[in-house]
Amino acid sequence: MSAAISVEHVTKRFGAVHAVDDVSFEVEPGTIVALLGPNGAGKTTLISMILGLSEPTQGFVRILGHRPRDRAARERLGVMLQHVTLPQSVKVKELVAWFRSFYPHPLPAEHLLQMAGIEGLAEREAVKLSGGEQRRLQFALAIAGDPSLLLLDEPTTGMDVESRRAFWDSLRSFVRDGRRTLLLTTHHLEEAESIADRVVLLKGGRVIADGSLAEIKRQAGNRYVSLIAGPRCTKDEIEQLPHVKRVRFSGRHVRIETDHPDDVLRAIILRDLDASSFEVSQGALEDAFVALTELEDRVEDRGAVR
Amino acid sequence: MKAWLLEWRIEVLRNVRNRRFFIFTILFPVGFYLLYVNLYGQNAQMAGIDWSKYFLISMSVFGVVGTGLNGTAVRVAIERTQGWTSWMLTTPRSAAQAVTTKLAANVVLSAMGIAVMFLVGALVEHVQMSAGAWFACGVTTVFGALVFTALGILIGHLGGREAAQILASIVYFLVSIAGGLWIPVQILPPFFQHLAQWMPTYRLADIAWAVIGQRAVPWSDFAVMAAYLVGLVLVSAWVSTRPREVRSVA
Repeated sequence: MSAAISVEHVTKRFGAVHAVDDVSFEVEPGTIVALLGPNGAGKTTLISMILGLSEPTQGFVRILGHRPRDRAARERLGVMLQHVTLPQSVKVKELVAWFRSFYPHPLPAEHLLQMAGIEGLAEREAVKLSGGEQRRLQFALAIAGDPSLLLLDEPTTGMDVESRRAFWDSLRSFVRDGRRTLLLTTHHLEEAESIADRVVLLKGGRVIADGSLAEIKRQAGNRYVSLIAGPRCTKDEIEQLPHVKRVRFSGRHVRIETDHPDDVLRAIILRDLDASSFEVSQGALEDAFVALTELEDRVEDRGAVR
Repeated sequence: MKAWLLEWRIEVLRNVRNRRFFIFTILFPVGFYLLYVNLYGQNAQMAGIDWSKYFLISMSVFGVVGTGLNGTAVRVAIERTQGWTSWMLTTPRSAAQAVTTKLAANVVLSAMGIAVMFLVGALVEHVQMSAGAWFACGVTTVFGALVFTALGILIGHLGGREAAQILASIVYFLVSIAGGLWIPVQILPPFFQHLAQWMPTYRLADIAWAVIGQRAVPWSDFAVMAAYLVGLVLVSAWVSTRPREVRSVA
């Protein structure tokens, strides 16, 4: 089976600026990939090339085995762009019917509204909905054709906390069966973390990290076990635990930094140390993101000095 | 075909629900018609035709110019610059469908405008014509309106929302005045009479004036209209397929 998305040595230049610089990656069918990066990293440029909205200066893109502009690709593609003004004077149900008419096997309209959590708004004029409601409507439209590939550029922009949670829940249930591939960008890293199998980290138009969440987090560190040490627990006992990188004490509160928090916890239990209130962190994507993008800056700075 | 009809219907509804449609297609032409006919009196004559008939054609054409230019240009500009067109390019909808449904929707809107104008002419100002003449004048004006819709689409491709709105308004007034729709060219200096020969507004109205005045319709009227339509469609097609780059800002 061919890759759902394949990006091969893609470069996009605007004059002298390399917005995207020799990027290559493949997305296997059924996976959920988060494309992350600081502002100006080239995410939107890359997405617009994957969608066929702009042509790479060099390299090429295939989606679902086709060129992005091929009808065969677009029939199986669902998209949310970052900034879209919906057409004026059109009702929600009309927009849904309109989008459904583009595709050979559309999902039922009620199902779409329900998935997007906007069942009650079918008769309303689309542009008069709140920003978050419009965004959810755009999600309903993106999945109208029962797509096997979804590309969502900042899908939760404009949504409040509650809508965001509902949105991720329905997105998760939509892609859960493994038949669909999802590529998304978002500024909310904890949300990317809650849904993605894989993260591609973009910076300055280049891929600076690409891997599973666990791999990315391992690269960046910030994994630890914290606990409250009881009166019988000594400092030595803690420092002799396996895989300990550093221990920080603040009163009875102990934080053990390690690459293998599971093994540390297991050892604490097996050795029956006098400790309680365990907290285990496998590292947050946000920390990994900051660490990796900053690491990259330092490398670049050094390069400049040399 | 079902998809085409659905989009056509939505395009018609979008326009009819818009205040702009009411103002430019109904209010302006009907208002000016009633005002100027009463100003000069029903018995006035222009180019051998009753003023109330002559000016009915002027304002009917003025109405379809407004429908084609104002609604279309702004809408196309918004769709093009605010993501909608890009989004549509990622769907299987064909570009031809987008253009043809807009043109076909404007035919319906123009027909509605003309119907209202003709009803006002017949019922309020007691304009009398044979059924054949009403029909011929109506049909040519409705289909001639395609030229102005094409012009609206082109203007929508030239700039953003604000620019399109301003440009459409300027062109709207210029072609209406230069085409002799507000002041008949017969009473204007020769320069304007020559200029009018090149205006699609004058040429379209002239077809109906010829029908009413029972003179042969000049073939050049059709030729000029056809040339405008072909030219505008070609330029629009060229402008709309020019590669446009999406520059990343985020």
